[in-house]
Amino acid sequence: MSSARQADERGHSRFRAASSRAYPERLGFVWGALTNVVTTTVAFWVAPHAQLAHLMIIHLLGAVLISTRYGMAVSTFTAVTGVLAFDFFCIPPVFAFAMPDPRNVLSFAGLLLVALLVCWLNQGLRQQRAAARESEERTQALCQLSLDLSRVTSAQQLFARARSHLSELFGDQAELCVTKHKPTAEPGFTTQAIIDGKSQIGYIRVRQESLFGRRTNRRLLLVASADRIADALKLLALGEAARRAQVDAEVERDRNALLSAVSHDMKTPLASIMTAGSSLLASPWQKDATSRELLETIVQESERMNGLITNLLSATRLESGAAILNKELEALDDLVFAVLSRFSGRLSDRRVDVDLPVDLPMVSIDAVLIDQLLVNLLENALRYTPSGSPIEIRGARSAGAVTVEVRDRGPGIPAAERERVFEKFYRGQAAKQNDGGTGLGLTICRAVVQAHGGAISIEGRASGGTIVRFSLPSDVQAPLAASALERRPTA
Amino acid sequence: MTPAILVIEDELPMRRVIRTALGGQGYHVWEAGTKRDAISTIAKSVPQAILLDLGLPDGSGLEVLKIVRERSEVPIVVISARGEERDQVLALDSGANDYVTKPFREAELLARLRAALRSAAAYAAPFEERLEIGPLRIHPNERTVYLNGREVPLTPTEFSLLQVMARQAGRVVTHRHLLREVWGGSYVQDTQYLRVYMRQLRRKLEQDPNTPQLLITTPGVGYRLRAPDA
Repeated sequence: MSSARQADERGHSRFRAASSRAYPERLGFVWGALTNVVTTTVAFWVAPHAQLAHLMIIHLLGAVLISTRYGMAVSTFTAVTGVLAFDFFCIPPVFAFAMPDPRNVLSFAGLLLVALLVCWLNQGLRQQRAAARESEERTQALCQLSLDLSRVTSAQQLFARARSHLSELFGDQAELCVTKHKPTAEPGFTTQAIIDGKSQIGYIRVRQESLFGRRTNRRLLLVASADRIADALKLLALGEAARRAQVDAEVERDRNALLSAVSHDMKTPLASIMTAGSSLLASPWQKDATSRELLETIVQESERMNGLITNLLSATRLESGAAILNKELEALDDLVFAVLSRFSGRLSDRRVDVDLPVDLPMVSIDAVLIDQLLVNLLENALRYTPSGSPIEIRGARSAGAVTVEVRDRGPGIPAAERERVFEKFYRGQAAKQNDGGTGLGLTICRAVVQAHGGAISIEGRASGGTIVRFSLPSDVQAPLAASALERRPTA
Repeated sequence: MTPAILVIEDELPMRRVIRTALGGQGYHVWEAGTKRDAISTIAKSVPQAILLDLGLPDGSGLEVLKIVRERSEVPIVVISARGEERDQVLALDSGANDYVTKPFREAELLARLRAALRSAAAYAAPFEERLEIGPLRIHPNERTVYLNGREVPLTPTEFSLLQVMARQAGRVVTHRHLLREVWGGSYVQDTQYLRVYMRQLRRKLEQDPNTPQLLITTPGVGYRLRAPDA
């Protein structure tokens, strides 16, 4: 950390050194005059022993020297006043501007022209150098800004660093505002929006002089600074999202590990109890009615407990999104009939009316989950309707979906409860008077249907009873014609 | 050593219960609590059948299954928990003969075991004159099927499908296995073929196709042709 700060400070001081290398013009005229005094004095003493050409070189030297430092105005001033001073002090007749020899006039005009030409060339060179220096300065400043902003861990820290950089670059009055509102215009100030994608995050406000006060245009630096700040914010957000995702994944992993441990630890002893109970029940030993009843209770209740644990696990797993769907193309009637076959003992006193059209398209579903959905719906229909009342199962195809309804002739569910019964552990008024439920059955139904991208709802029937309707998306057009599949048997 | 049923299960109480249940039926029982125990037991002598729990403390039951299948066709019934349908299918496709889901009743376990032992015997004599499963009588050579004494006309594919299931009557046959046997190896993903034919077979063989009594669906795993005592 301390070494980083040292590096920062080094960077800043380098930057300051670079920017203070501009020379004030006004001082240039003084330097130009001084140079002329020196060259003229030297020429004055040398003049008696030298030719005109030598004197001209001395003068040219002075003018060129000045032009390497100062602009056209100072250089021209130096060249012209130098020529005049030469003529006055060094060219006979001394102390007079008169020039009797016309060849000397030509020489002097030539000298003036060469001096100006050299100054002009020097001027171009100097401008190039200044531009290069400016661009280097900008790059350096932006690099420093990016580097500094990339090390932050929070948005506050980021803004604090950005602020200190901005005042470094644009003076103390530079402001960084974090707001979605458009900046208000203020005379003498320029604002630059910081934009992430399309929306504004904030803006930078600087004094106009800080952009144009020096000889270089620093508008570009301002725009680039705003871009860097936006980039750094984006990077910070991405980093935070990644960190959060990692934490979430760890929590998820822990939860799943816990769930599977609990499921194993609870279900294993339960399985032993149930198998042992059923073994005793089936054993050939003599049993009186009471012990038979007790044994049956053991088996039935352990079966029920197993069902509860299964439901609880499924609900948690589905809600946490941990369930991975094992989708395959399935025929819904196949699954419905499988469930009905398993329920056949409990359905003996009921009329179950199944109407699933033969042309019902197949659906891509997880058969085990949809099986659980159907079991829960049928379980509810059996539990909450009077024995002997009929149950209907209807299937239909609609645009892009297959809809299944389970209808009963029970007491119905009040309209106010039809949405709430899907909530976890919520039990309807009718359910509370009835034992055996946990308030999880419909929660799982909804989780299963939603995991498949479908919808489930409850409706009342005008003639009494309840309709539970769920739909599952289906992109299969129609069932395949069997004749198209007939192959030469391999067996 | 007299041939026996090898029970590979890490939970002692469960092992005790199974031992009692099998003992009551006159089976001799060997026990193994770990993958290592199981493998060394099998190396000494091949049992009559294996009951295999998939979750073992020192590895997966699937590994034991693969090692056994490399050297023997002994019937294997896998014991697994609900929610492990994927593992069940994997076990069946790796050569297990059937499975029971925990928790199970004793009668269910015994029925699965009997079916596995019986179909292992049937596989040993594959050129049987005829197969009788409940109300069905199948003549593989003539490719004819009788339901309660009346001939049922089946298409060649329907017949093949029924025959594959009849050979393993009482046991679950996975979608993959049925597709491979009837349609060929390149069709193992086309489960919709199977659905269509199963529907047709039911229409021809079931009294009420809406409550199948013969061709039973096991969601997420496969189909089972119900044998009379299973």
